[in-house]
Amino acid sequence: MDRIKIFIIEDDPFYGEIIQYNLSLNPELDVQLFNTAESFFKKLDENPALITLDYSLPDMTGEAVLKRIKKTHPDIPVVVVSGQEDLQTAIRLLKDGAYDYLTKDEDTKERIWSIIRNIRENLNLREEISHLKDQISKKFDFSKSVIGNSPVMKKVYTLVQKAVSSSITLSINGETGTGKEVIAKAIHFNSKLKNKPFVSVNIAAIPKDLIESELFGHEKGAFTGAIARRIGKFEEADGGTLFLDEIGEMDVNMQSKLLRVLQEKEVTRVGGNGVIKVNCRIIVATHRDLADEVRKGNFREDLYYRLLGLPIHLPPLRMRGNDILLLAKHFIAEYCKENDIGKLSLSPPSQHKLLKYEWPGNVRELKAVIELACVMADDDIIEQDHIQFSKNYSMDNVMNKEMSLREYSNNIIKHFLLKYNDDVVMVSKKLKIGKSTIYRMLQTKSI
Amino acid sequence: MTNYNTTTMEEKLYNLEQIELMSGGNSLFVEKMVNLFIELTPELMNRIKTGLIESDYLEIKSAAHKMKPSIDMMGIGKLKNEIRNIEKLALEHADVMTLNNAINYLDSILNQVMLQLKNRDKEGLN
Repeated sequence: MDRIKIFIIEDDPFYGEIIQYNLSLNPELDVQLFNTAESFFKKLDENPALITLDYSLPDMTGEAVLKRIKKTHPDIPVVVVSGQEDLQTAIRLLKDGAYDYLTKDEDTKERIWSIIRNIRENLNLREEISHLKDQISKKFDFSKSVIGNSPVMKKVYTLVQKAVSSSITLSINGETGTGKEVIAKAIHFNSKLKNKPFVSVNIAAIPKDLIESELFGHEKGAFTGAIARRIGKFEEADGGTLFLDEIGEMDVNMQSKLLRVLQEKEVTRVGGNGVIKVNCRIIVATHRDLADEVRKGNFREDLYYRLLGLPIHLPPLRMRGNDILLLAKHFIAEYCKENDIGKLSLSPPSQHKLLKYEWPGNVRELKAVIELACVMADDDIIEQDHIQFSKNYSMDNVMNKEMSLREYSNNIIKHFLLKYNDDVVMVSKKLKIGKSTIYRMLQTKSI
Repeated sequence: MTNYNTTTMEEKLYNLEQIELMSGGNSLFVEKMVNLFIELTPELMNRIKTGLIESDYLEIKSAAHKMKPSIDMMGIGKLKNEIRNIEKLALEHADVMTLNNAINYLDSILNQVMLQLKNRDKEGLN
């Protein structure tokens, strides 16, 4: 870490000299003394980590110096050091943005040391945060986080590039496991908002009664269990991106509240009266066809248009052809790196097996299958036997077996139930069969 | 009310503990600060005396204010409150006699301190 630069503005040569010398005893500090405001301002662009400012200078008042520093360098902490205790002046200076107000006495040195310790901790934390942000940014670098060069994905990349260079609302649609959140993060961490928060909320995972408090926050005592004030996700994401996953699952009553927040750009915490301004980019995702949900009356039309923004459809893995192998190789490499093992590769039959499978769980399922295959592999080749699907519903496999029509039907229904997360209503519509037929088959355990 | 008793030459009027502590054990630095004090104090004292002659209370207050940290750092206990008192008297435009007495006392003690500081090596004082 670089030395911490400290500027002392002090016209009393005796006091200035002694403070400079004392602080310089710490080799981590680079302490510079200025006896006029003018000489100090010439060096201000060196961005010191701390400024101690004598309140009475010959060429400018302490207040004027403080205001000028705050105008151009608002983040640099300024400690005002005065020869006398003056509560009114201290309050005024603190209001003007001074970090602290100290009087010159035998304790001043200790108090400056204490402030330096705090600043050093803050600098360490800032450095750590910056490092972590950098790592996250690298993690969500497009070339690393979004794999694939199939024609359908190339169309997605074109849209993603447009999304990165603007702050338009985004609606990402795609089956479960297609990587909607990965795309949302990749867009955020490659956009101008990358140093601001990315806050993700899965609407489907939060009970209906708690969603308002989760999104907008609550005041202490707003409801049973609200033991303290809590800020909501909108406030948390202020200045950054709020990712609302599974937006199609939001209750209609809540949809109207969300619409109002998006229109007014302000929230009111549950149990509170104050209005809080919020400004964040919204990215929504769903596995549902929202337009269809609007037609069915399950989703508000006005909210739909408010959220539609730039729509990005993520294709299912089965439509991505050779991307399956690219992704599989990527997951193998990732597994080998994380587990510190030698390189593994896919045998031609195992590649064929991966390409033939329907992937109802999409990329998420592929990752799980590959990780299991890596574990099962005996040497550096992953054979087809190492590739095990959680439920062997591959249509290819189904058709290769000699079964009765009833068995084929059962397998087809099983396949669709897996694909649509056991959503019986959806499967009955897709296959144009009655819901009761499916429920009956489930009850009799024929599927 | 300040008791302006004179002091005997034998009484040590300063205490360098604070500066020694801040020097981190560097005696050269302590020496440098002592010399700086001896060099700067007469000028500030003159400003106070001139201010008194010219009834320039602002000048007295300003010079006393500047003298305060060095008096504290040099551990001149007899003047710790006195220098603050002069600053206050100047701010309040106190009567000349009161201010005169206070300034004379300050001058007298400072002269003794500087004499002691200059002779400290000879007398084996610290």
